[in-house]
Amino acid sequence: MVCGVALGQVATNLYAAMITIAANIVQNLDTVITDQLGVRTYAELALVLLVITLAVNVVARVMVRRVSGTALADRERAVTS
Amino acid sequence: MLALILVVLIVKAWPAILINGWGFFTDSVWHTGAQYGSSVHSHGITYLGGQKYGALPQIIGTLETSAIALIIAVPVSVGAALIVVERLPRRIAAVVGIFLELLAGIPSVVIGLWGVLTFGPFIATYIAPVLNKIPIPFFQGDPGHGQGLLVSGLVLAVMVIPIVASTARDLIRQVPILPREGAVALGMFRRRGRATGHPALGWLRPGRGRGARPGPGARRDHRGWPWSAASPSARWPPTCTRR
Repeated sequence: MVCGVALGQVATNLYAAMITIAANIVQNLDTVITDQLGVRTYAELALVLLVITLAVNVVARVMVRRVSGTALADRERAVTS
Repeated sequence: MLALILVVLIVKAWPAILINGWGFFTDSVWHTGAQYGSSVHSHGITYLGGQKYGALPQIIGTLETSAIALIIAVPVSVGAALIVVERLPRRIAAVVGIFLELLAGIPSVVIGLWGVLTFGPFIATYIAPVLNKIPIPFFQGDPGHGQGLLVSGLVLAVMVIPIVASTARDLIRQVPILPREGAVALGMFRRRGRATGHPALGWLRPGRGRGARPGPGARRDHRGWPWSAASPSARWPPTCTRR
């Protein structure tokens, strides 16, 4: 609802209505529940969303681990020296 | 569990992956087919003729809103974490920390509803007219009732700020006290925030050695360059003979 749910529309400015994968699933899944290809397409959409989420989370986790590892190693070095 | 979800989704989506093909990622048309048209049987499923599913606008929308959320949430969260760790008295910091964690527990539906009913109209009424003055086409447009890309990104930012802030707070707490004291000694005055932000963020930055710039009163080496003992790349404890 927040994004405006404009199917098939890419936002051309900051205020334009658009759609996200999550918004489409929430808004329209019930209309295709009896449609075999529709349901499977929404499963494909969920798969894409899951892959995007996993990719972003893996990148974030790697960043936090690198930063955290650096800080801890330096802290130990500072204490021992 | 994650693998199970992934396998179930792939199995469930496999016929659609074969039927939609690469067009799913490159097309913008989302058509659920002709209700009274003839049915088609293919790849083990029966579906209405004329169905076409292209998810490009949705994928772009998801990435756009996520980018806006991160652009706004990361500086705000790191700033909030710095204030909580470095600036606030311990008791107030503990209370703010509790509220940060409580904020993370608010259901996303509640934040979304707040976004639609309160935050969106507020942005459309007060913030959008200001942003409209920026002479970049992407910032100009009719905000309507506040339902659009900007508000989606902002609402998403509100959802992730507590998580990013608590992670940043835990990381900043790992910074030893020595670099901070060294920064103060070298002229990064605590009052101006340099002694807190620069060493802490510099220590946490993976690319080390670019951590901090000394203040105007900083000691300079024989070449006249200010060297930074607050930087994690500096030898610790600092000595005046270091080059």
